[in-house]
Amino acid sequence: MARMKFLCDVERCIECHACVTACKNEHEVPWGVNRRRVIVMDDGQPGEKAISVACMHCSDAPCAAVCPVDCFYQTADGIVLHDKDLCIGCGYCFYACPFGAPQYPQQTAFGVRGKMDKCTFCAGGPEEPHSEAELTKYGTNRIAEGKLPLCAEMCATKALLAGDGDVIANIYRKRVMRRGGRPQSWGWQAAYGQNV
Amino acid sequence: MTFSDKTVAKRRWRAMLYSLLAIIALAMILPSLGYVAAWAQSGPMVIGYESRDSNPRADMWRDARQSVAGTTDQSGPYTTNVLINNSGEIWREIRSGREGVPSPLKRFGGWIMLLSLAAIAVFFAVFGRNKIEGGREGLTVPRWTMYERVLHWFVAITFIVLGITGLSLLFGRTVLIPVLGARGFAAYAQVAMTVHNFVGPAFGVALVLMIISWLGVNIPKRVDLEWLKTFGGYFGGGHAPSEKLNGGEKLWYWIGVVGLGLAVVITGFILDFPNFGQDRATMALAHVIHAGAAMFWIALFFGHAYMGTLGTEGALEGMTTGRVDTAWAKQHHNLWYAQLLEQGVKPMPAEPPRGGPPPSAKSVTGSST
Amino acid sequence: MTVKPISRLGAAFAFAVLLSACDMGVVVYEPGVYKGDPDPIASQQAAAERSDALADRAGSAFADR
Repeated sequence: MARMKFLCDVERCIECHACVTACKNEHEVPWGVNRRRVIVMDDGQPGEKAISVACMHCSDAPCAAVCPVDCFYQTADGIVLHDKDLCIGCGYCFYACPFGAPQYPQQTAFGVRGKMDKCTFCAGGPEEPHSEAELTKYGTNRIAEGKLPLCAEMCATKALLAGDGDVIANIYRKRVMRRGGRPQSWGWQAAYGQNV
Repeated sequence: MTFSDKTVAKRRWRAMLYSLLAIIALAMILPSLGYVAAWAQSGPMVIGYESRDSNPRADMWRDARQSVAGTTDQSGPYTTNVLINNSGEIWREIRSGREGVPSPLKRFGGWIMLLSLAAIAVFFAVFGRNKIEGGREGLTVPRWTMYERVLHWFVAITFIVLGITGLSLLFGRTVLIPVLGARGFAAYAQVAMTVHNFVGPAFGVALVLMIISWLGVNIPKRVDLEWLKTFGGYFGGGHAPSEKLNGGEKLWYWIGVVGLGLAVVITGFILDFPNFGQDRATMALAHVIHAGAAMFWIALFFGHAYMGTLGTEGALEGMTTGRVDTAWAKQHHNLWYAQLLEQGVKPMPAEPPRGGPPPSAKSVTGSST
Repeated sequence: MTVKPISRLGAAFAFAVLLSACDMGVVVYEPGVYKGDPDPIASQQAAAERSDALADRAGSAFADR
């Protein structure tokens, strides 16, 4: 069984923000929500690194563990999805997530946040695939069409890899062997456990 | 070989030896000058080609793992520039546990509340109701003003509403989802959370007003220590003297209302108003204190509610009608009653029960109602 | 027959509950659209069906040509 994962090759990411833009455009993401972000470490210093980060679809997802209404579920290939009809906008998943993936369209007085929104690995949600409800709540469902997440597929430098963990790890390993240096499977330990 | 020849040979030999020594010494000293020059420029060097403890790559990835913020262009009403936020993991383990590790918050909070209820049930079964000795006298004295009573009941009702809605959010997933179903509970939880978030600030304001208005009568005194030594006579052993509020009530005021109450209200404001820019770690910590203190407070509240209603005959009417029977006042708050009489407060006949004949003073005897 | 204030209050509360259904946030479910619990067997089937296609896609999308 495939296990869907994201991997950002930090030696290749050039901080072009195309993944962010593509995601926002593809899914009509609400204003204020960034399903994918590009974070630059040591910005402006020698050896700065840009990293594209979104929901990592963790094995033992903290968001799912703390949700008071149990609105998260994981598909058989490891994609963590949530049901916006159940979500009450309490903010707990936002506290718990290591990657800052769950976000809310607003965050105002009296704890009014609206429904949580996060990366769906382009796999839609619990609605009927390609239905109007799915499109408006979760965005398009590329996985059901046999396509991978748009952010990774359109990455110009092929820095962002998405797909079955074994397949993308293989591609990444070949790259590292050719160019030398240390592999940096950023965030995998936090997302998929200690022995990755 | 002459003597001079011998001397010359010896001198040559010595010169050669010294030159060799000088060469060796210089060979060692000269490169060290470079070290000294470098040291003069940039401080003492660590032996090795590069300093080991500051590999910039390793430092950067360690920073990323340890919640050090980077730079990002994506903005939102929350922190967006942190790669890995570790406070969430700790919070998750405290609130929800992990596979094989039960949640300490739910476990201890739940047990404290259940044990409190069980202790009260055992106490009631063993000692029963604390009756007015010798029955009511039919005369009443004023105990709580209208303002105090309204404040008390506002705080009490909102406390119960907030308690039920708050506990629903913490325990609902294990207790209520099997009953209501995921969809039913989500609808319930949406209402519960909204009510909790909007009633909470009103409760906080009323609680602070209550703390201020009852500060004067709650100042601890030596009498209260004596009251606490005998547990107010609740376990037998006669009556302890008491002012308007006894030692136990003052303990409830200071630990429950002031201590736990303010902890719950302050952390509640941190959680309820995320628009002030507090970060996730602050809110997660506030949540643990909020839930923990609230459950401990609820456990104490069970005791307070029992004492005020079922546990002590004649106590509740002080908070409903504002007046208490003189017999109850003498029995439970003798010093306060003496003070009242000193101030010239005249005990008045109790209001007649609705629909019944007005009882004349002193006519209601032994049979407790 | 006299109406007690408490029952008036109850009726008003019940009406308020009914009125709250008019809120824009209330979800009305489309008939015929499955909205039950996620089905693990269906999920497994779907994942198995698409796994080969997605692996091929990853090979062609990310491998350096």
